[in-house]
Amino acid sequence: MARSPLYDRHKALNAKFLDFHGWEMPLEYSGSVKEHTAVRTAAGIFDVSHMGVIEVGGADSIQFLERALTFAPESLKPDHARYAFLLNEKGGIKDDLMVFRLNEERFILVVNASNREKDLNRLRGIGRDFRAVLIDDSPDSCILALQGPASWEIASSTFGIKPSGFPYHSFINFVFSGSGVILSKTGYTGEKGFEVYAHRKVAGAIWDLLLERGKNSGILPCGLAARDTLRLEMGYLLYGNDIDEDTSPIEAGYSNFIDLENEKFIGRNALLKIKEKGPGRRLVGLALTDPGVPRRGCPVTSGGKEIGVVTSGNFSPSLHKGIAMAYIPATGINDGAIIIRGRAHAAEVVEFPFYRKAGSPALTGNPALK
Amino acid sequence: MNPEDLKYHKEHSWVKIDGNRAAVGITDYAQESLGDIVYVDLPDVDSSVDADGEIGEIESTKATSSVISPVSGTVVKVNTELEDTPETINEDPYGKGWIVVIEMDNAKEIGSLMDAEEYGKFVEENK
Repeated sequence: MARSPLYDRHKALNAKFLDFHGWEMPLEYSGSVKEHTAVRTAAGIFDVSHMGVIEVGGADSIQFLERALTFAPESLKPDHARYAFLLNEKGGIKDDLMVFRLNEERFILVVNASNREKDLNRLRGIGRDFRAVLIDDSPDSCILALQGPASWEIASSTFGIKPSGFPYHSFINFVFSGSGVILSKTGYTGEKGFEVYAHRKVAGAIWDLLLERGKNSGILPCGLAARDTLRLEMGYLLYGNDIDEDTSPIEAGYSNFIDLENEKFIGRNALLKIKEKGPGRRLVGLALTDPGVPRRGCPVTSGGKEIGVVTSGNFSPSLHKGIAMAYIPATGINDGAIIIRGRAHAAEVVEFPFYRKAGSPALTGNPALK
Repeated sequence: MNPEDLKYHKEHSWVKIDGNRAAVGITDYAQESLGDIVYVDLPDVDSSVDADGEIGEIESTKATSSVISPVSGTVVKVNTELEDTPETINEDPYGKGWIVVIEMDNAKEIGSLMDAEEYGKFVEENK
């Protein structure tokens, strides 16, 4: 199994590990609910170095990305980041990813660990028609996510930066210990926060420093279990659970994240057709009104008839109830329920995000990195 | 440490015998493996249970796990406090985190359970 360069640090912090798509990553340290709460109320730090980092450059990089992804590359300003999809010809999602524009022709794509190889092959295939260079930076890259209301303070004391000085979904570059670092205002938790992109040789020092500087604010190292409940409370998508090659961004409720002014991207015609016809199903949030914990695979019923299955589900530590996502018929449901171990648990359709807090960015849709 | 006065089942549940009644819970190892417990599905009072049969479900943020009864009998009490504070099982698995009390059908079943030392070894060997 692959290990993050910070593996020994996680071990020393008594992390429990899991196999996440071939990566031995921290599942939790002090307990996932405690870690979840730390992110909602103070700060948490995650090692998400399993994510793939692909650099795109070359004279035709813009034309290449126009063909490959669902956004208009010209409209993304340097030092800004955004969410996009890599689609198949049928409009199905091959991956969801974040695009960072470094300068006029250089970009970074941050992709799901589970899809990295597939994405690289796909992108290299598309890239044959363009003067574009694709480099897999994943082996050298570390990604840390510092998330939570105290994260601005911690980042400012750690790096001597002014967090209010740059907007959400933008980033700054600086040199840390002789190595270039990107600090972006992005995340997968719905809280204020940053992601730090750094070379593996300096990532450990940054991790240590953030934990040290965050001590008085109550920072906790957080594992992928908390990351999952945090993203679920926001209704953010998880590839392989909520979206895959057979689901389109339209069914998933992400039409607004598709730049149709980009007329070149693969899958565009299929999306237009789905849009015109109206999708037959849509992804919704379901909140249990009965006690219980819905899980992926649990049937969803409307008036006692099965109409879908849960794609992601868990207990919400912030709301103290079971929450789930599922595709339901576009016509909606009446008298909804989720079947858990053979028993119907009443559930109601709710708007995303499940969890909203005054003072947080309250970003709807998926602005996220996973 | 696992208390000396309890008997242990290989599915990581324990019983505390008091006459013909047995209180049942899950072990420290089980709660530690599950992580933060957020929901407990309890059986109905008066329902009958078999030894090695399921008497409830415990949900953590990470996983779902069945609670296996070490003995056969009838459920006479359930710990309804767990409905509101399931984390009690994490905090005090051998005390306030008890799950049910069973009126035993066959007290001889206790003989096939492990004592604290045997269970401790069993956990080490199966880690």
